[in-house]
Amino acid sequence: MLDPNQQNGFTRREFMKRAAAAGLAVSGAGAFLAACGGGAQTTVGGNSPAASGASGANQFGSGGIAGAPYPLARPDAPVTWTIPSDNQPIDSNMPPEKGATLKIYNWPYYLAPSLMKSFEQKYDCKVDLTTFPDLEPGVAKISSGQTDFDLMFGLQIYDVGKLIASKLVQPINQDYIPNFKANVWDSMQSPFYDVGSRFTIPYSVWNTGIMWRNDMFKTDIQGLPNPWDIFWNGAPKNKTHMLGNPRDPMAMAMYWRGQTDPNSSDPTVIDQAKNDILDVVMATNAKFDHNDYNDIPKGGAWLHQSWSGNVGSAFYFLPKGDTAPYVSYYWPGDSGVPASVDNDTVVVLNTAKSPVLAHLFIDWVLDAENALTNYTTYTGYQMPQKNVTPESLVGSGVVPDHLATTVVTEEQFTKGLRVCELAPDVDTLYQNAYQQVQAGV
Amino acid sequence: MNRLRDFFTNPWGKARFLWVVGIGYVLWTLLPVVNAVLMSFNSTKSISVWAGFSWRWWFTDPNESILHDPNLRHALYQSVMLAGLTTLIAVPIGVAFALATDRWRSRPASAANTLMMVSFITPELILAVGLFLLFVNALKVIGLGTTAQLLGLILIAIAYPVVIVRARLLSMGPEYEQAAADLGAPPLTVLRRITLPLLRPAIFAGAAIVFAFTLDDFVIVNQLALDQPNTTVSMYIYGAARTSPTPAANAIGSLALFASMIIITFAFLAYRRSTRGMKDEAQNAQSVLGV
Amino acid sequence: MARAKARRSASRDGAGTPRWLWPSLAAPGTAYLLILFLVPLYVILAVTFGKLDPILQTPLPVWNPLQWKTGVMSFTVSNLVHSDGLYFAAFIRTIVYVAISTSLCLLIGYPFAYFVSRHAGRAKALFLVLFFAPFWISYMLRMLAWISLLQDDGYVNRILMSLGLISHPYPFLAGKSLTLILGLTYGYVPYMVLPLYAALDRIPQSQLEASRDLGASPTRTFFRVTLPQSRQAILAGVIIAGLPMFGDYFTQQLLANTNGTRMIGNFVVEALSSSLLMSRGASLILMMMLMMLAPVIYYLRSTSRAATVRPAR
Repeated sequence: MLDPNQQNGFTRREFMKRAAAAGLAVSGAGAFLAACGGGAQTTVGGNSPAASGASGANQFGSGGIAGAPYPLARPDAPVTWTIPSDNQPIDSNMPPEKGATLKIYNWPYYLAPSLMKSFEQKYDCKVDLTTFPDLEPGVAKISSGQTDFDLMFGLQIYDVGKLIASKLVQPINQDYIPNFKANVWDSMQSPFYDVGSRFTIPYSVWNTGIMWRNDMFKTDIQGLPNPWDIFWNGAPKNKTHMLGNPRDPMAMAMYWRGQTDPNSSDPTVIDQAKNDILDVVMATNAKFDHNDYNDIPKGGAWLHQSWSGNVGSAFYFLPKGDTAPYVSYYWPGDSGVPASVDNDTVVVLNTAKSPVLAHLFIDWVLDAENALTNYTTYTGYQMPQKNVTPESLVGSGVVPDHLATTVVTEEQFTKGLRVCELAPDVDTLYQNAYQQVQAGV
Repeated sequence: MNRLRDFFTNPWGKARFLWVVGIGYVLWTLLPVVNAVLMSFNSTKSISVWAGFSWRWWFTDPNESILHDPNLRHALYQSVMLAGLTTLIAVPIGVAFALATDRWRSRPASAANTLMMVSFITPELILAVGLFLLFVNALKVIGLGTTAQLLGLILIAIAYPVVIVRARLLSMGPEYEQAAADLGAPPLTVLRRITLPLLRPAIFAGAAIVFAFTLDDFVIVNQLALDQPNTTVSMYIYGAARTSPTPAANAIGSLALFASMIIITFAFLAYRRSTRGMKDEAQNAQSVLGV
Repeated sequence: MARAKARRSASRDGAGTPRWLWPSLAAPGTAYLLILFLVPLYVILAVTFGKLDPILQTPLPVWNPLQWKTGVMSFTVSNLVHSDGLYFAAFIRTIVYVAISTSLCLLIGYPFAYFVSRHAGRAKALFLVLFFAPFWISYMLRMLAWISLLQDDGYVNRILMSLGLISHPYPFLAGKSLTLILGLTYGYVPYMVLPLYAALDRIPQSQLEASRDLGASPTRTFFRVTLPQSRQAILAGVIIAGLPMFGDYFTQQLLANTNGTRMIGNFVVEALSSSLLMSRGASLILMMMLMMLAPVIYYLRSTSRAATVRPAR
C-alpha cells in the first residue's frame, strides 16, 4: 500500500489543502485525484525542469503548468478552460435537429450498437459511426480540420488541452445532460484537466495492468512483489505484447523502476524507460497493440499490458456463458507499486452539424440503465456511474469472480497515477523514444 | 537416378521439367485464392478450418453477412462506384492523350509523355503520400474523402489506356487515316469516323483493365479515406485481416473477384471479335512500356 | 507528290490538321498530371521543410524555398544513415527483403515465362489466361488467402505436420521474415513474368534451332542465345516488380506484423497518421523518391528507346 506520506514528499494534508484551494470537490469515498507527481514535482532520483511550480495560465485557461502555449493540466495543478467569445456553447432548450445524421468518431467496439439504435428511434435520426484504430491517428484526423464529426468518444485526457485551445471542441451546455450530475461519480464532476467540465464529459474509467493466460504460463503475477517485473523476468517469447502508443509502455517501464511520474520531462528518465522497453523487445520479440481482447483468448498472446476494460471486451467475442477461466488480470497498483488509472472523455466537436442531438446523445449514454448495458454487454469498460458498485458487479455475475480484479474503484483512483498532457518538446521526446523502441535501436 | 535425369533433360522431349514449373506456378498462384473463395462458404467463423458448407456469410447471417451487414454492402458499393467513375473519366483522358502524343511529334508532347511514364512507374505509396499531403495541407477545399479517392484513382489509372491505345496505334499504322485524308476528309472527321472506331477494341480493353485494376486498389484509397463511408472492399479486407477476420471478408473479396472476372471476360471477348490478333497488340504494348 | 509529302512530314496525320487539335487532346491528361502529380511533389517539399502549428503540432507547409527549415530533413537523413538511427535498420532490411524477393521472382518467373512462351504449345492461351489472373484478383484477397493458409490451424501447418516435417504448428504469421519475403514474392511475381514472357516470346524458334544445328548444347544455347536477348527484359522486370516493393507496408502488416520486420513504408504510413510526425513522413518519402531516381531514369530511357523501334514481325 502506498504510504501517502511518502508520495513525492507530499503529505496527504498538503494535498487536501491545495485541492480545497483549487475548489475541487472531494468525495467522502476518498479523493479521486491522486497526489501524484506532475511536471512541477520532483521525481524519485531526478530533478524537475524549469517549469517547477510555474503556472501555465494564459488566454486559453487558468491553472496547470507551463511548457505549451496552453496550460498543461496536472492532478495538483488543475486547469479551468476559458470559454472564448468565438466559441460559445449552444443555447439551452433548443429542439433536436430533425432528420439528421449524428456522426460519431470512436474507438472500435467502444459504444454499444443497441444504444445507437435506440437513440435513432427515440429522436428519429440516423447515427453513423466511424472508428479510428488508435488515439493518435484519431486526433491527427480531427486536427487536420478535414472531418465533420459531431462527437468524439474515447478522447484521452492527455490530448484534451490542444483540442480545446485550437477550438476544435465546443463548450458543453450541461442543461442538455442532466444525467451527468445525477449519475456520474461526484469525484468526476469537476476533473483536474477540465474544472467544471466545461468542454468534456467523462466516458469510461479503467486501470492499466497485466492480462495473461494462466493456463499457458504459470507464474503467479499477482503474488510478485513488483508485478511489472514479469515483463523483464519470465515473459514468454513471441507471446508478449505491450500497449501500442508512446505513453503506456514508457509509463510501465518507469513504474517498474519505481518512478511515480509518468509525465516526466527528464530526458534521462525517458531514455532509461526506452532502454528498458527495448530489453523486453529483444528478449521476447514483443508486439505493440491493443488487440488483447482477441489475442489472449485465441492464444496469440499469453502476456499483455492491458487496459482493464479490454478484459471485459474479450467476453463480447467469446461464446455466451464462457467465463474464460484461463484469463487473468491484475492491477499492480493493488500491490502498492506505481500504476496508472485513467478515464477518457467524450467531446462535442465544433464541426458538429447536430450539436443538440450530440448533447442529447451524451445524456442518453449516461443514463443509468444505458450505461450499464454499454459496459456489460459490449464495451467491457466501466463507466463512473454512482449506482454501480464493484460488489454489485461481481455479485450479479456480470464480472466473473476470477476477474474481479478488473473492476475499478474510486479508491484505486486515489492510488493510481495519471498520464497527463505533455509540452510539445517533451511529447517529441516520448515520440522519439517510442519510435526507437519500434525500430529496435 | 540417371533415368530420372534423362527423363527431364531430353532435349527433344516435351521439356518435362518446364511443364512441372508451369503447372506448379499456376497452382501456386491460384490455389490459395481458390481456398479463400471456398472458405467464404464456411459455416463457422474460422477462415482456416473448414467446418461445412453454408451461405451464412453471403446471405443468412442476420448481422454479418453481405446481405445484412450495411458496412459490407456499402464497401462494395464504394469500390464499384469509384471504379466505374474512374473508368468513365480516365479512359477518355487517356485515349485523347495517347492520340495526341502519338501523332504530335514535338518537345511538349514528348515531355508530357515522359511525365506520364514517370507517373506510371512511380510506386503507388509515393503518389498516395503526395496526394494526401496535397489535400490535407494545400487543397483543403477538396480535402480527404471520396472525391480525393476518385482523383487519386484516376491518376494511377490514366497510364493504362494510354499504353494500350498507343500500342494499337502502332500496329494499326497510319494508312487508313491517310487514305481518308487523301480522299478529302477533314481531320476531325477522320478522327471520328476512322480512328476511333479502329481503336474501339483497345478502348474496350483499356476500360476493362482500368475497372478491374481500380476495383482492387488499396494504397491510394486507404490513404485518402476520411471516414467509414469511404471504406472500399480492399480496405475492409485489410482491416478485417489485421484484427479478426471472418469469412465475410472472404465473401466480399470473392464477390469483387467475380465482378472483375465478368468484366474482363466480357471485354476480352469483345476485343477478340474486333481485332486481327493479340500478338501484335501485346508486343506493341510491351514496346511502349519499354519492356 | 513531293509537296504533298512535305506537307505531311511534320506529323503522321493528313494535311490541314488544325494546330489546336493535338495540344487540346493532350491538355486534359497533361493538366491532370501537372496538378495531381507534380504539385504534390512540391507539397512534399513544402511540408518537409515547413513548420509546425504551435498548438496542434500539425505541419504548416512553407512555400517559399528561401524560408525552408532543414531540421526535419536532417533528422531523417541522420536517422537513415547512422547505424543507430531510427530508420537505419528498416532501411537496410527493406533493401534486403526487396533484393531477395525480386531474385526469387526472377528465379520463379523466368522458367515459367520460358515455359509459356516456348513449350506450352496448344495450352499456351490457357496458361496466358491463368497467368494474367492475379492482375485482376485483388492483392488483399490474395494476401487473405495466405493468412488463412498459414494460421496455426491452417492447411500449410496441417500438411507439414501430417508429413511429419514439424511436430507443432509453426507460427508463420508471428513476425517471420521468411513469410514476408514469400508474401512479397507471391504478390509481385506476375510483374516479373510479364516482360520476360514478352522478350522470350519474341525470340524466333529458328534462332534456337540454328544454334543447335551448329552444335551447341541446350545449355550453351540458353546462355549464348536466349539469355542475352532477355537481358533487357530481366532489368525491366526487376524494376517493375522490385520498385513497388519498396513502398510496401501492407504486406508486412498482414503477414509479419512485428517491429523486427518493419519496412521503410511502415514508418512513412505511421508518420502520416500522427500530427507531429507527418513532416517526418514527408521527408522519408522525399528520400525514397531520391533513391528511386536512378531506376526510374533508366526505365524512362529504355521506354523512349524502345518505342521508336518497331518490333520485329
